[in-house]
Amino acid sequence: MVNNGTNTLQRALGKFALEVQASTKASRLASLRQEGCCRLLFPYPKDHILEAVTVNISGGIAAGDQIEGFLQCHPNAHLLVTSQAAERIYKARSTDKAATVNTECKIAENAILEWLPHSSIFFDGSKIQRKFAVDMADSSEFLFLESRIFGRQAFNESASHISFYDRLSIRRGNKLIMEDIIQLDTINRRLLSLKAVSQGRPVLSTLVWVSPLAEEKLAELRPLLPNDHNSEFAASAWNHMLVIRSLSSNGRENEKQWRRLLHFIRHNRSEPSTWRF
Amino acid sequence: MPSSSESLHLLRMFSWISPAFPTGSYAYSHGLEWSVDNGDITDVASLVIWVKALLYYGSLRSDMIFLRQAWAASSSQEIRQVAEFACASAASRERYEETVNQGEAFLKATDIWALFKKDPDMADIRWPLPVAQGILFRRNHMEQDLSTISGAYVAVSGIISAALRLIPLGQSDSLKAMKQLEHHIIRSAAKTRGKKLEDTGSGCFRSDLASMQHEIQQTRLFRT
Repeated sequence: MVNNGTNTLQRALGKFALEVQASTKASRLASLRQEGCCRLLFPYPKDHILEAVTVNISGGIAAGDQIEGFLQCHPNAHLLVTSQAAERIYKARSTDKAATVNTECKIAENAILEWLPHSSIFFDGSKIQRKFAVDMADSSEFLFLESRIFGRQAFNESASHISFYDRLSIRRGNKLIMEDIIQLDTINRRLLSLKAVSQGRPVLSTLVWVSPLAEEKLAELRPLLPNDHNSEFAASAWNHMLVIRSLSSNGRENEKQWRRLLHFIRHNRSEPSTWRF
Repeated sequence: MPSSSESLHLLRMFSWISPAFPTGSYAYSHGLEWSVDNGDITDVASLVIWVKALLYYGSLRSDMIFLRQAWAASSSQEIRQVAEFACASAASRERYEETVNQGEAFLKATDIWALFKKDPDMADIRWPLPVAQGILFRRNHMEQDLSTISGAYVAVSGIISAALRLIPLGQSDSLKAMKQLEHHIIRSAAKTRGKKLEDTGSGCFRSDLASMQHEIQQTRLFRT
């Protein structure tokens, strides 16, 4: 069938909901629901942590797709969520609605949630709105890393029109402590080339670590931040959060650099199982 | 001839947006000290391009939306919501301190006019500068668009005055920068009309990185 741009394309819908609880020996699955294009895989557990791997069986995100996730850690549980591979966000037509990805997390007392997916690759013409909301107890911990690649340099891709909205909201002890929103109606090469924006570097990462220990780790972490002609990393800590932001020219190099930093922040715990390459 | 009350409201605005108003604005560079040291900002042209990006895509755009939302807030609950959202949006520790230190100093200084009395249940709120400005400008009968460009003017003139000392720029060069930015302040402010809290957000990643890098800068004239 010829796609003339006016017909409605089949769009993927997906949902997952995962609850984790602590038992005497390890963190265990308390409940799991998965619908549509969303699947969760559970590799063999290590370090008493429950690891979940998100899989999008539709093979990527297209305009109009809707994905909803829900993660809940009961007291003392430790959940690590990663993804199977880099998520690809494909070109939309001008009349298409943005894809939406909404994730909600609840973290109870003394529980730990780590959200460490692979990078997301935004192809030219993609439109997406992602919201990630966390509601956590004062004694709990949350670690979040997202890397976004706006056109891959090695493949000679570059952005001419990406519509992008990415929001991380964190409530800790029922107080709003973080609203990290990245929003650009039109991401293109000219905009990215601005010195105040990214000076042409297409890979943008944000790490947020909320923990009673986060602020005191800053001094030790700072000497480990890489800064060379391909990447800029900077960190700050306030209000029980440690935040690291980076810009890089190369997605693969960027992942390597983050792996070293995560090793330090995560006290040498094993890497997510899908991160071995 | 404007009415005497209009003239009075205008006079108050002159005081409140003046660099001499005791908000301590001379101590903050919004991370510019790092960007100058780093060679990103070297002259009027690079300064103007940098500030334009902040106005259309970055922190100054978000601040204009916070100011509008605080201006429009009609209950202490709504004021709290805007203040908490603006606090949570800070890109770094220094950005957080820069905005709440100035905002709280601004509220304290404007107490003399007794136009805004905090409710007892507001005791735990931290006050980002655009939120404090939005509340006071409204109570001084400034309409929302003029309030918004007044707030943006304070931010832009603060950055230019920091650049004047850091690059350094001559007096007439810094005036040229202001002249070039005038219509961008107005245009970018117009674009924030009707925007909501969730429409804020930064696209000026290197400016946010600069505010973090400033924390470890060796020689510093500015607190941020």
